[in-house]
Amino acid sequence: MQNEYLTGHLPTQLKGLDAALCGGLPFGALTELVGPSGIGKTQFCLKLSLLAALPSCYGGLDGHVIYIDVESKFSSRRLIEIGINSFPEVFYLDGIAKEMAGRITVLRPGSLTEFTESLQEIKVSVLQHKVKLLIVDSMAALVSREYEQGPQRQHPLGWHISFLKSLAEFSRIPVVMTNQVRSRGANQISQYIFQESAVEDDFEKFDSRLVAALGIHWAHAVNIRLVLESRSGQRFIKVAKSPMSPPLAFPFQVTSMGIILLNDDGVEMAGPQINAIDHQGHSDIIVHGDER
Amino acid sequence: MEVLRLPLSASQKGKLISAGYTSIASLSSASPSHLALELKVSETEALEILKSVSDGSRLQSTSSSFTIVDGAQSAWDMLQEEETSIHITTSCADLDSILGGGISCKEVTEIGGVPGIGKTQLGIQLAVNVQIPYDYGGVGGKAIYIDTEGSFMVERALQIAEACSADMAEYSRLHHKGPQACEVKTMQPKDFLENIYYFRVCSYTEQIALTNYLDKFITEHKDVKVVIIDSITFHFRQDFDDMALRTRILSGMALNLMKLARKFGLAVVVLNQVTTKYADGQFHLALALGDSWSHSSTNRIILHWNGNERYAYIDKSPSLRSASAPYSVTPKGIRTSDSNNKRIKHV
Repeated sequence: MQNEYLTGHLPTQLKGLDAALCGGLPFGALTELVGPSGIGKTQFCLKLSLLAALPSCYGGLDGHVIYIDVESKFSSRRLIEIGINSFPEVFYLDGIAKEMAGRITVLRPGSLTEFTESLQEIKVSVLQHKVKLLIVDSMAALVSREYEQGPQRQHPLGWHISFLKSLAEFSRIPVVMTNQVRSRGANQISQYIFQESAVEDDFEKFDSRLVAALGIHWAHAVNIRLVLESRSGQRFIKVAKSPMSPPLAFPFQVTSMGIILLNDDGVEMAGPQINAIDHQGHSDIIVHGDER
Repeated sequence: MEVLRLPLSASQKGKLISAGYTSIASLSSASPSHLALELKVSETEALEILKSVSDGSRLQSTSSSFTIVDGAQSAWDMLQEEETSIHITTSCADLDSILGGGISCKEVTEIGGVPGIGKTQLGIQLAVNVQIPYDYGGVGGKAIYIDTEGSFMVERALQIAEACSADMAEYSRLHHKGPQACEVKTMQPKDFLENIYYFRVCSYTEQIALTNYLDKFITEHKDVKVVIIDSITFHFRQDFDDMALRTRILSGMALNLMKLARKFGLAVVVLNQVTTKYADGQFHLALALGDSWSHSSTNRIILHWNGNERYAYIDKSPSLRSASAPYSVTPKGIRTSDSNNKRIKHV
């Protein structure tokens, strides 16, 4: 009764992460990237869109990519740069850069309503063209103006979550979204009514912590959550929620090749620590060194 | 009355249960030849089984107290049933012990917790554990997995199945020393996956339709012993404006699930998400879908973080006491938490 077609992945080409996720970002699932600004979320998205567009003989999916760029951060120049540096053998070929970039469709909705409209249009084109990846960068920017903290009866993105999930499922593609962070509010809760509030004194320690901008409702809705954070100058990518991998943290660096892991083994993290988002000792945005 | 209480050999009981005969009532209309074919035993053996069944039911009718209304059950009979009720192990000893042996069949159990706490893991673990054969102290049934979130990963299910299969091999090595060890068939990881009926549900309409269809499906597949819905919440939390309608639909669905659990003697496990709730001037985490939904499940377990450890807390149960127990999520699946200093806390 098990459907074999369920298995299918977009390899991230980050060895450790791919191993943890059993091959990469699974088809039909929502993957979320959370992290403070400038940590490398967009860099990761750019790399992923390249990977999905690459011919399959180079480990790509040989398909089209729809990139919904809400924050106007998509940079084609950076995209080509990552391409040339990470896949020199492909980009050496004449005209390939044009073809790769041509496969990536960028949409720039200005408001939630426009976003809703473009999603509906996408549904058709996903089926018509060979779209292998859908990226929304970022989901939080769409609602940050309207979104209020605290309990709400209905999530403003409720419809979109449902829609994206069924789109991912029906067309068997991975959907990647980014989420912003905000500072931990005074009434940030992580306790049930039956738990005695013993962690009050820990609050000072946690003060520098950030939380994901879209609340717990959103966190439930995504299948995989990757947290990007920096701790004392070192950036980490953490598998915070995933149905198949242990809570691992990998140190990474943003280079001219895009995101690279410094270590493929990963450190297993204990407890709710995996969900924490640290933001201290930020290093340079992109390390331009003499690496390869 | 349960088949388990009949004076039969363990392998006979196992065969009966895996063929879907769990209650004596289900056997009363079976013919010996039909039964022999279904259980793959000789006709004389089938006849013997049926004889002990009729003996058993006569025994029951004399011992059971008189009920005034037809079709009703006296509390005494129910007690006898409860004592023999079967449980599905969670693979975590501490959790099993606070649950009185595991997830109880014939009941609806709701499990909730924050994202990433291990709800889906527990769901997959149960889908695998329900298949542990009778000879190994399991239920020997099949599982229905209703996935509304798309979080069910075949790779992960395979990992858990492999670990379970390895544990069973280990168990048979320890308990059946000698030649008979080879006789007990060990289940291959692939068999586990074949016995999980997987449904992917993409909207609440499908979810309602599927819940209504389950009755028919299980009638055709009598060996299903657990229905897991991961999660009941997802579609009802998005894109649903009419709250009164939502409450009505959900309580209808809950009734349906309870009926299934009783009728087929199977466990229904419903996974739920959490939300924030304002009470006593403070915000707290609480399971989603509102107050009226919280009446719908028989048992309610909340998974939560306690320091660096995962804990399960029994929030609501008609028979179990409020308690919490640590568990851990390992590459093999749900297991007993390894730090031995932490014992079960009774509240």
